[in-house]
Amino acid sequence: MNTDVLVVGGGIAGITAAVEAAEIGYNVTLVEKNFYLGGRVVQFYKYFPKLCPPQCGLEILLRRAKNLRNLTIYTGAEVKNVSKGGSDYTAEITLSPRFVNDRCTSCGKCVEACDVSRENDFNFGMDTTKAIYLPHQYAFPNRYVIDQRNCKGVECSKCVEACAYGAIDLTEKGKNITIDARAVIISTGWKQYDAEKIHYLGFGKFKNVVTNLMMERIASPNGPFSGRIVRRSDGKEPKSVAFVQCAGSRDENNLKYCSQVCCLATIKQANYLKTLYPEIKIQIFYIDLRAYGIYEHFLKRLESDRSVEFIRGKVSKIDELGNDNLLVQAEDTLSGTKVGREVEFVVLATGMEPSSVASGIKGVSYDENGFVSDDGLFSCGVAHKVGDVSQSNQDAEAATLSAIQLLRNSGVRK
Amino acid sequence: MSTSNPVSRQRIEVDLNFVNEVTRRGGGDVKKCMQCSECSVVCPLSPSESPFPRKEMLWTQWGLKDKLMADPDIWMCHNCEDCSKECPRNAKPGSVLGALRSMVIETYSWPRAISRAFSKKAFLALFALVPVVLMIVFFLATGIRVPNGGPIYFSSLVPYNYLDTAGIIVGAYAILALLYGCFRYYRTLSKQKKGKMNAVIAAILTLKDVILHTWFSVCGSNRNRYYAHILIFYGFCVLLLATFTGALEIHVFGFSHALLGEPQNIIGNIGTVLILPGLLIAIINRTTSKVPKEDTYFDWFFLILLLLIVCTGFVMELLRLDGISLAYWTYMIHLILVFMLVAYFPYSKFAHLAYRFFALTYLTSIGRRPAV
Repeated sequence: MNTDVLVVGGGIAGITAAVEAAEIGYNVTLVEKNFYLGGRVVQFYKYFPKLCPPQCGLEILLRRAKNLRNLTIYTGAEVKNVSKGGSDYTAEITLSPRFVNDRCTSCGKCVEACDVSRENDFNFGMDTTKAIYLPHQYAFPNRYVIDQRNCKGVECSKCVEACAYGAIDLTEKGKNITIDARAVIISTGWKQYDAEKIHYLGFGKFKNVVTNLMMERIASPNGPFSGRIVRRSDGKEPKSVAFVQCAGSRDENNLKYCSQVCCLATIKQANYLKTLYPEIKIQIFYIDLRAYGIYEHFLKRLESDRSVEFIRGKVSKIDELGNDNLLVQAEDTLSGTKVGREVEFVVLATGMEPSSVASGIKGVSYDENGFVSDDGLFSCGVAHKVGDVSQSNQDAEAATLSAIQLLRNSGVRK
Repeated sequence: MSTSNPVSRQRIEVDLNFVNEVTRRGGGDVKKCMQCSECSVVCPLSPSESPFPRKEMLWTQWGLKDKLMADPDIWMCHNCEDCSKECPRNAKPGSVLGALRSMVIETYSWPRAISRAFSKKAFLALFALVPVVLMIVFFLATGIRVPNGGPIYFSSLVPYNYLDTAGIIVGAYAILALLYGCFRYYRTLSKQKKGKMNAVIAAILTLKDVILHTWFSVCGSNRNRYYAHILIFYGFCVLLLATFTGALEIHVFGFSHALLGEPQNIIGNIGTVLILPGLLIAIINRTTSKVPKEDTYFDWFFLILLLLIVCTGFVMELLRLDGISLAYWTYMIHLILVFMLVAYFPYSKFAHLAYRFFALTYLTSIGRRPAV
C-alpha cells in the first residue's frame, strides 16, 4: 500500500499531524498501537491550565479526522520496522486482531454474557473489565475489543451468541502489512516512568502511593472510582495529600532529565483536589518548581492558598504506618530541618519516558534517553521531546510542515 | 512559601581556591550538587536539626572554608556511602566529606608546613627518604653491620636502647604534634556553642562509643566496612600492646632478646590475625565497590602502609624462624615503615583517630548524637 505521509502513533500529536496533512490534501495513514485514538490525553481528568476535560480538544480533532476520506486509520497496529529505499520509506506493520468488526453498535450485550475478567490497563490496573470491553467511555472507534490474553476463545463463544449484529468473530487472525510512504512522522508518545524503580518511595509496596497519571484516572468521572478521590487501601477519601515532585526525575539513577510538565500537573491536581474537597490539606515537596512561560500565574495562584504547603526538599523516604497512612520524609532545606509528615495519600509526580524505551521501532534511531534523533524521519510530541499538550500540538504542526516540504520538494503537490 | 528561620546577616568569607583543594582530594563532584537533600535524609547518622551533608555540599560550593573547618558534623559521617549511592546527581557527598576531613587534618596539624607537604603525593618519596637516611646515618655512626650466620636476634642489628630511644623520641613528637592539632581544633569547635556536658564526661562517653563502634554500627549498609574497621582497629590496638609488652620484657623483666613464644610474640601474632583480614576486606571493598566513590592518595597511603607493616612483620618472623639472614633486611624495611607510621601519624589518615575522637567528644558535649 502507498501513502504520502505515514504517522506512527495516534495520540494527540499524531492525530494533529495526520489531520493537518490530510486536510491539505495528502494521503495520510495513521497507525496506532492501542485499539483507540487519543493516547495519554484521553486518560487525563483535566488539562492544565484551563482545567477542561480532554474531550474538549480531542472531540474537534476526531471530528475533523472522521470527515477526511484521504486519512486511513489503523488501530491495534504496531509498526515494527521502518526502512528507507530510494525516496520512500517502507513500514512493516503488525495488525492485532480486535475480534469485533464495524457492525458493533456498542450495545454492551456481549459484556453481560462474558464471564472472564481482566486487569484494566487503561486505569493502571485499579479496576477490571470483562475480556470483551470498551477501552474507555469515549473510545474512538467506539467499538468493543477482546483481550486475547484472557478470552477463552471459540469454545466459550458466549459473547458471539449474545451479539445480535454478528459483530464478533473469534477466529479473526492478526496479520502483517507493509506501507510505503514518502514521509514518516513518529509520534509514539510516552509512558510514565516506572515508579517501582525508585525503591525508597514505596510505590508498588504501599497501596496509598500512586503516580500522577493514576491520580488523573482516580479523579476522572469515568475512572475506576467514578471521580471520587479514594485511598486504595480502605476506600476512604483522604484528608491530606502529599505530592512528591521529581519522583525519579533529574536523577542519574533513574530518569536523567526534567520532564517539564510534572510541576504543572501537580499544581493542576492540587487545584482540582481543592475544588473537590475544600478542606483537604496539601503538601508539595519539591526541589525546584518549574512553571514556565505563562504558567507562572498558575503557580502563584496556588501559592496564595494558605492551606497548600510547599516544602523545599526532595522526598527521600516514605514509610507506611499502621493505619495505612504514610510518613513522607525530607529535609526542609529552607529551614535546615528534617521533616516527616504523616499524610493519608501520596502522589508521585513521575516523569515522562518515551515509549521507545520499552518498545523501539527498528530502523528509527533514538538518543540516549529514547527520544527520536533520526534526521531523515520527522517526529513530534513526546517521542521528540518532553512537553505539554499544546507544545506537542505545535510540534506536530511543525513536523507536518516539514513533511509537506519534503513531499513538495520531491514533486508531490496537492 | 515560607522559611521558618529568620535570615541572619553575616559577613561571608569566600575562599575561591577551596573547591579546587576539595577537588584535589576527590570531592570535585560537589559542583554537580543541586541541593535536593536526598543525602541528608538517607543518612542514618544525620540528625534532624541542621542535618548533614547537604549543608556541607552548599558551603563547599560557596567556598566557606572557615565554616567547614569548624564543622564537627563531617566527623559524624562514617562513610557508609549511602548518600553517594542515592545521590541523583552523582555528586558523591561521601567523597566530599572525606575530602573535608583530610583538610581538617591538614589545617590543624602542627607544623603546618609539614602537614601541607604531606598532603601532596609528590612529596611521598621525600617523606619516605627521611627514615632511610636516618638509618644509613645510624649504621655509619655506630659501625654496626648486618650479622652473617648464627641465630637471628634483631637486637644485634639495632640494640634495644637505640631502638627504644628512637621510638620514644619519634613517638613523643607524634603524640605532641597530634594533640596540639587536636586541641586547636577542639578550641575552634567549642567556641561555637557552649557544651551542655562536661568535656571529660563527654570524652569518656565518646571513648565508650569508640570501643563499641556505636556510631559505626548505626550505618546499616556497607557492613563489610564496619567489620573491616573493627578488625583493623582492634588489630592495631593489639599490635600496639605487643610493642609495649616487648619493651616491658626487655627493660622490666630483663629478657636479653625477644624470643618466639613469649608474650610479645603471641600478642603480636594475635594482632596480625585480626588486622590482616581487616585490611584485606577494606582493600577488596574499595576496589570492587560499585558505589561511586573517589579513592584518594590519603586513603590508600593509610591502607597500604598498614598492610606493608603487617606483611613485613609477618615475613621477618618466618625468616627468623628459618634463620635466614634476609630477616635483617626485612626488619630494616619494617622499621622504616614503622617510622613512617609513627612520625607521620599527625598528618596522615591515622590522625582521624584523634580528630574524630575530639569532634565526637564535642558533639556529645552539645548533645548532638545520632538516634540509636
